[in-house]
Amino acid sequence: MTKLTEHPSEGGQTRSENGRVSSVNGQPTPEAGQLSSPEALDEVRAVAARISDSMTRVIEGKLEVVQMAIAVLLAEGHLLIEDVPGVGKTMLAKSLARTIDCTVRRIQFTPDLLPSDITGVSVFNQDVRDFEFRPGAIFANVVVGDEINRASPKTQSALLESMEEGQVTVDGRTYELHRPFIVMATQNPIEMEGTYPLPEAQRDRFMARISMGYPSAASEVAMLDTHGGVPPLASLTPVTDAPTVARLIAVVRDVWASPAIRQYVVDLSTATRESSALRLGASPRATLHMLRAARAVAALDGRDHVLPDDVQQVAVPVLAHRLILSGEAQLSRRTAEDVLREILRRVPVAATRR
Amino acid sequence: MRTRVPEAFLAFAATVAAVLGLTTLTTTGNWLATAVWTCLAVAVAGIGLRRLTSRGWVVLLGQVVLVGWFVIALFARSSLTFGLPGPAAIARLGDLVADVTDVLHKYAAPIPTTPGVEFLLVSAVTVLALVVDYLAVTRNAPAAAGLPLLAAFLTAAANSGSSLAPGYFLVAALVWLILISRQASGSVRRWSTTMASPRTPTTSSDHESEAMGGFGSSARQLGVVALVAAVLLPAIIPHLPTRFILDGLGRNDSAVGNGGRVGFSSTLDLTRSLQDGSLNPVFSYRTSAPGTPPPLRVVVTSDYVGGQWRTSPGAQSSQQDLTAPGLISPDVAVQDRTFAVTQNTLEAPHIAAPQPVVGADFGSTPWGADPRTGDLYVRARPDSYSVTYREVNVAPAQLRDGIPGGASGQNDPQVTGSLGVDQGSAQVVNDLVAKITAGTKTSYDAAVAIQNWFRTTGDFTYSLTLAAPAVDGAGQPVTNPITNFLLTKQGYCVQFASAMIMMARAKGIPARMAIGFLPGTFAEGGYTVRAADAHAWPELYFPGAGWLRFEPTPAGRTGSAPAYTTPTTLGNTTGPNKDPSASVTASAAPSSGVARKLGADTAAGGTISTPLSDRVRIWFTDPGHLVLLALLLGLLGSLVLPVTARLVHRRRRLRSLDAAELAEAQWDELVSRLTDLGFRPPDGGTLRDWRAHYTREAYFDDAAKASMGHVVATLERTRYARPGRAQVDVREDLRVITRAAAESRPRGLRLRAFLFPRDGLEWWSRLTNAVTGVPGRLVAPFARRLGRLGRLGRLGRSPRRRG
Repeated sequence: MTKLTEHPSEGGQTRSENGRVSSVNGQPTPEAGQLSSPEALDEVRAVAARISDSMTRVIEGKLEVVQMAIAVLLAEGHLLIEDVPGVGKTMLAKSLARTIDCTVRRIQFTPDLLPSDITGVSVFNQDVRDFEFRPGAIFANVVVGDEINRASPKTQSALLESMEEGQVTVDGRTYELHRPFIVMATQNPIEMEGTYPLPEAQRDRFMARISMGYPSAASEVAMLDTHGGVPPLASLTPVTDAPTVARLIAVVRDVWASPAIRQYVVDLSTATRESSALRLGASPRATLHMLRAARAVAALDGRDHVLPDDVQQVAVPVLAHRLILSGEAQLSRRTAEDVLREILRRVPVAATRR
Repeated sequence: MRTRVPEAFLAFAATVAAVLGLTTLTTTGNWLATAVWTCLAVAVAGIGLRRLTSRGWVVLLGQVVLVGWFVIALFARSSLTFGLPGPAAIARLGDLVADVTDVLHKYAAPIPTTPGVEFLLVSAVTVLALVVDYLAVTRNAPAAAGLPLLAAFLTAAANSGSSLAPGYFLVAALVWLILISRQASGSVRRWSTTMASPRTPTTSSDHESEAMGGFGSSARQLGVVALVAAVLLPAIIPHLPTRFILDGLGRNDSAVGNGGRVGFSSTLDLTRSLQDGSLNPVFSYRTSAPGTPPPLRVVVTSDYVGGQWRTSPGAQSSQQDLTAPGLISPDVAVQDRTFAVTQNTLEAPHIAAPQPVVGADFGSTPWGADPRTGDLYVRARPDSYSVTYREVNVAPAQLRDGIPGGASGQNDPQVTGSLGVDQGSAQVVNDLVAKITAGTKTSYDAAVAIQNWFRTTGDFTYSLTLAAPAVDGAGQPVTNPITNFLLTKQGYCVQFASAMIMMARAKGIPARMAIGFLPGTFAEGGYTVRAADAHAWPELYFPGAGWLRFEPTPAGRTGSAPAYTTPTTLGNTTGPNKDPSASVTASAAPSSGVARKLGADTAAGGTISTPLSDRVRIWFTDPGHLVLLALLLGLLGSLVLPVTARLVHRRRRLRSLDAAELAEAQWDELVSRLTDLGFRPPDGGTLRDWRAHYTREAYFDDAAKASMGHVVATLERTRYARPGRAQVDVREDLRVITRAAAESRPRGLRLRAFLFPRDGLEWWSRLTNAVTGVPGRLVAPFARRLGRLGRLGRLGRSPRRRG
């Protein structure tokens, strides 16, 4: 049973701006200070504020979660939303997708979902007497993967490999995915029944894992008020579009990370690898993701440079899902978050003395 | 543990070491053996009693009873009844105390060791031993025991009358330091009451000994540095004459061992010396001269400026050139005499001697003579010295007729410089000279006439109190001291001498001012000179005879005038020592009640002025000024650390090459100053964490919060933003923050933060480490080489020789 839902692009571009950005993928250089100019940063903040405003109309009282989701979007990462059913994981993913005027696809993962359903398949077209590629659900700017741990590992890996590479290869032909491209996957905690927990290597591909958590009592009451009538998602209109997001992503890439910050990020990763409470520490990819997420957070704060505070803010969401606790730590009922917070306290904040 | 045997014996050793100096106060030191036995008794009794009880006061009481009995048994054994002290023993002790009182009244240190004195000293030492044992061992506070030990040492140092050898101090201080170090290391070892046992085998004992070694070595360094400083520093610090610091204490002449010294230079204000009623000798001397020796000159000067005599400061040469006698013609009868001074207390550089001197022996003391005047100077005060001086027996007839071949002195600046008449009094002087010397044919006769006028015919009154200023024709008070003296005819030697010099100069005779002492009082074959014997007299130059002393001050004070100034032909004197008509109204030896208004005297009188260096010295020797100076020095000293900290901060600011270094320097300064104020920095965390921490701890107001935000933002930018930013100086923000932080702190803490900034302390401790590490660094290469040699030697001996 596969259910593919396509949200066609809704018209009405919010802002039409002449893209000053020449190359989205261009590597930033220290001298290229124009990308993260104060005006560009202002735009980042403004767009982020619009997205966040829209989303919080649907997701009550979860500003930090929303901010983290936006940061992951701007940092070109993929988001893993993990929590018990019914706290609004899908709502979060869909609301983020809705606020951006771009192609959005939602994949409901089930045990019988096939890899070709995601990547696409070549079918023989009788008219032209040739194989014709029919793109899968992944060919969109925003892909919402619901309950990803319900699919078989085979299907999961099909999604995750294309996530990392940004392209799909079918029958020897390579197809580029859309830009910007973000996968927002939700999953239930692995203790729940009927799930195939993601392997470590695949969890590593998600930039950050966030938990929704239960709403506060006040937010829940407010939710009852607003959600009583119309479906909340229907009221959302896009506040930005894909080219704008792509431009913002370029700005975020250009945020300056000083040698001290880079050293600090590496120090944190090293500390997880050396911690006796962890069986598996952070990968180099995790280090990369951490710095990218920190850049996004810095840009969202209107800064053109990363502070240790930014790194500390993203460290737990970025690293926690990649770590595997040692047997002792599990027995003493510590969580990866606890271990990470302790590492954050312990690792000295690097300060350059040039 | 409780008995503390090593500590008890160390306390015993410290007591004995501290009282070693007391042996210098007595003629024989055999009382010390008895005292050592009683101290030992104190220590042993303490050990035994501490084994029995842990209560400190019980131990002390037991010690007092036991050792008290021991002392009484030592000194009044025959009076004990059944081994216990009774009334007879108390009477015996009373006798001993009476003996002590008697001895102390009769003798100055060193005092003879009579049984009473021995009893006193042994009792005192025993009490000291009890106190030290109680504090250092029973109470386990050896630092407090330092005070009684110091008191004992100071008793010896203060009463011996001479300086105590540094060895006495070193021994006592060392033993005390060992006592302290033992107690300190003991208490450090007892820090943890339970022993931690590691699960895995570790070399924890090594760590412990390492840590202890660290404590011990820094303590030892401190101790050694303090000891060395205590011994070496006095060599660098200038010695102020002790009598000034003890001025108030040392007034009592009957005090035992009061050896007052007289600094002549500092009492050139002769009125003070003249009024000095003390009988303390300045020096004693013997001389081969028959009869009364001449006055003893200390300095001579011919500069009279502004109503004051000035001694020329550049005259203190190290030349030992005694050419002044060359002025005396061979025709004049001379006789060399010896003059030997003992117990000299006159402060360097001055030396009292009859002039002219032709030879001198100061032993090892460096000395020199002023080639122009013949005045002698020494580098340090010699205890005793001897000089040979030339007694000039020129005949009056020779002086009157002129000595053939005598040097006119025209080329001698000393002579030509001694002719200027004080302009302020020239009128009066010239008039008087014309009147007095009317009818005299030669300079010599004129000089004799002037002297006689002062001594006899002029109706002068010798008094230490100067008369109120006379009123001149215009009704104005006379301000010129010489004129005033000539009009009021009342004064003392300085005025007499000054006036005669001016009158002689008016007559064309070179004349100068000599200052020194009268011959003093004769007793037991020698003379003793006291401060009250200070004197001033004129010296007149006569070709062929050199500088001759005249004596215008009336005979009641000075005795007879020199023989060559009393020509029998004139007939107005009946012989030496007789001056019948000398009218002396003041008492010959001026009592201390004669004059007390010093200020008025110096204002009205022609006092002797002193060069700047002497005036500075006089200023320094005033007790009030000393206190002021001490306060000033203390104030300056307390500013050393704050100033150092400021300079350290300033240097870092100035040395910072770019914005980053400047921001880091200013941040470090801020953290350091906040830490001084008691706001400890958080452990770890980002700059924003620190900002939040300080804001929370110090209750910053909005301005300080803004400044803190600015400082942190600046530092964040320099640390983490793209390089190449403009330099931002946040000094004003720092000021706002530190002021806001200080306002929330108690006053004492703020003062401490100001006086003892950690950056200043750190700088000085680094400096100290660098300095104290120098010997180690110097020795290290040799030690390494030695070690290498040793290894090589071993290798050489080993059968498997390399290479």
